[in-house]
Amino acid sequence: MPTLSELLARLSFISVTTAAVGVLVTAGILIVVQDWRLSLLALAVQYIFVGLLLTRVLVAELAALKAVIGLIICLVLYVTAVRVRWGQPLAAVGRQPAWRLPTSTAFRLVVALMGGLVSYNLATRPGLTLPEVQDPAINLACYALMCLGLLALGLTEEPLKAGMGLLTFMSGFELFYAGLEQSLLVIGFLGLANLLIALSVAYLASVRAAPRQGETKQP
Amino acid sequence: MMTLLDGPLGLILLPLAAAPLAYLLRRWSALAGLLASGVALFLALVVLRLPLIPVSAESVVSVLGRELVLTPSNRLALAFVYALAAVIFTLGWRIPQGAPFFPLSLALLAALSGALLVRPFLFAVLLLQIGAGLSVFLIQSDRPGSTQAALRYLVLTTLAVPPFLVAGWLVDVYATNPLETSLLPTARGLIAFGFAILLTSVPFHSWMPAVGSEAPPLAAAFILGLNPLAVFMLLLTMLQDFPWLAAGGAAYTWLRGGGLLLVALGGALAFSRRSFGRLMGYGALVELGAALIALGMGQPVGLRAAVIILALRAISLVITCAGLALLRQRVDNDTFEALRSRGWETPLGLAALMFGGLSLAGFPFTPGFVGRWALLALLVASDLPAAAVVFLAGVSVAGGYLRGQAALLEGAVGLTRADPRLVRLLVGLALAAAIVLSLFPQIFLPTADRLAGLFTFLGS
Repeated sequence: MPTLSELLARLSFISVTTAAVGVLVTAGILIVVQDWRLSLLALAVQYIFVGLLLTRVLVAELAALKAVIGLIICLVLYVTAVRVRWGQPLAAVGRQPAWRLPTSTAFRLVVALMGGLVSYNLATRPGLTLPEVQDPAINLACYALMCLGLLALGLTEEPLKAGMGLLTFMSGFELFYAGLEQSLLVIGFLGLANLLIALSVAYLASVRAAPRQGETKQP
Repeated sequence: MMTLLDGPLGLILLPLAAAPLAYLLRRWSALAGLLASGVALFLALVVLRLPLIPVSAESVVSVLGRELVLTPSNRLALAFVYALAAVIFTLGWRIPQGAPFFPLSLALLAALSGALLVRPFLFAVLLLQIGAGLSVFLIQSDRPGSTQAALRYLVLTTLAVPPFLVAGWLVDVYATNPLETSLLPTARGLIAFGFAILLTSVPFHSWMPAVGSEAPPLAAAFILGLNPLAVFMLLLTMLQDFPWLAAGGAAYTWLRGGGLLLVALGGALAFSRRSFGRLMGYGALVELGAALIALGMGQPVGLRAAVIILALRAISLVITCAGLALLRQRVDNDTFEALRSRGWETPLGLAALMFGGLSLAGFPFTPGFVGRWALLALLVASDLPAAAVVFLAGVSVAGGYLRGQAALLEGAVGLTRADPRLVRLLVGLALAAAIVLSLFPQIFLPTADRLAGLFTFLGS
């Protein structure tokens, strides 16, 4: 059976530029799409791309470990999302078309495009290259994840979606920080912090969806 | 050979080990409460150098290559944190705060202990972030509905981590190459930004009133009272360890400006609040701002005033929350409207809420007056407009509590459901201790002086 790092090595045909564009697109999806299924899928794919980018900065085993932690986080969020009926309010269950386009989608698309442009602009300015980040594609990925993560965070008060934004922001920061500090203890602490963020937002999503006093659950 | 509790490691491990025990005892909350308060009290006695377990003047333990350092300054801060936690746990023993209260508070206490002990500072910030993750469960406490407070606290504390981590790397680079002074302005800026978030400067302040309103009252006392204390200690330790951080005095100007903005905002919004929890949150913001202004004076007397303000702020919050907890046992809502006339049902709850609230306002004959007076005396001599802002903010917070009191005492309802005798005894004792402290502040002031005197970055 292949090890985690071998699995990641098999994906090495994906170039750094492709992976950077991949994180840009997946982070954009987190802003534009309000459907939790698609958002979770985007987050999971994003963690794989980040894992691939991390192989250029960290040893393959650590990069693979970070990708696995990311996928565990997605699993935690998935279980929660299923439990809370993918974020649909109790009264709307069964009545709402599953794939309707909310009116705010156009606005979110514009915000995501602007966020992407700002990230690209920052990443390509010579004076703003992140320290110890040699590859321009990784530089772009860091900026994109941090900018778009913050935007995703700011556009919602819903814990699960906000949590995805926060985790995206942290992914971008960790991708940058991995070049600066490779201490196992710091990496461990950051992994623990990410898991705790995932558990916290999962818990908040559950209690937010729980029926309040006087409200009854539909069969 | 060093025993487990002979060094600082035990101060983290003991509450951490007690947390799962308290969780197992969650169905027997009285036992869990006794365990939690016993652990906190024991730790307070240990760090106060009881002859039971010897703790050397500066104990250092290395864990995974990082140092846990027990210095005279963090020992005093830890003793205060543990003692106050013991009071909160004892009150929670008889005033239910939800099943997760004791185990999570103990785990949070371990994280705060770690943040106060660990070096270098970036691990302290990571521990504070992990503490914020735990606090989410404590704040929400299985309550359905709004998740605003818990989410804001988690998000803002997490956003404070990256600036500190990058600053930590810059500090390391500078330490290996002291000629690279060009790194210092960036490190200074990042640390300032990180502290601006952690110390709830405007516009990162919104979680504090929200936690006051949404968290169970004693959990709110724990988070609003003890967490800023740990952050403030981290700031003082960093100012002491890195003289370049405040070189040129710009750091003090920022601290003073940030504090003034916080006081002005808290004061402007406090009076019009219509819920005790939010009012308490704004009162806590004003006190935190006052402490920042005091530190921003850049003088040893200012540092002393800041230490006094922060410590008494935590005590005031515990008293306020004890009163609020008694009221919220009757109505699970903290708005003036919902608690109308309820003051008659729990006179002790009303007294604790008002005494603690007025103390947050810096009202005379309350513990909070001591620190506020020390700050006003300093400001009147050097910056009269700032003194006026601090004074008016206090008036606004006091006005808010007096409005709340009017609602609590509206109508004449008889004493329909008295609090249990033990609850009255515990809250009464806490209130009596606060009254004694307000009448005889000299009980506490020498300790605050000692703590302030241990930091020499402002001269002695």
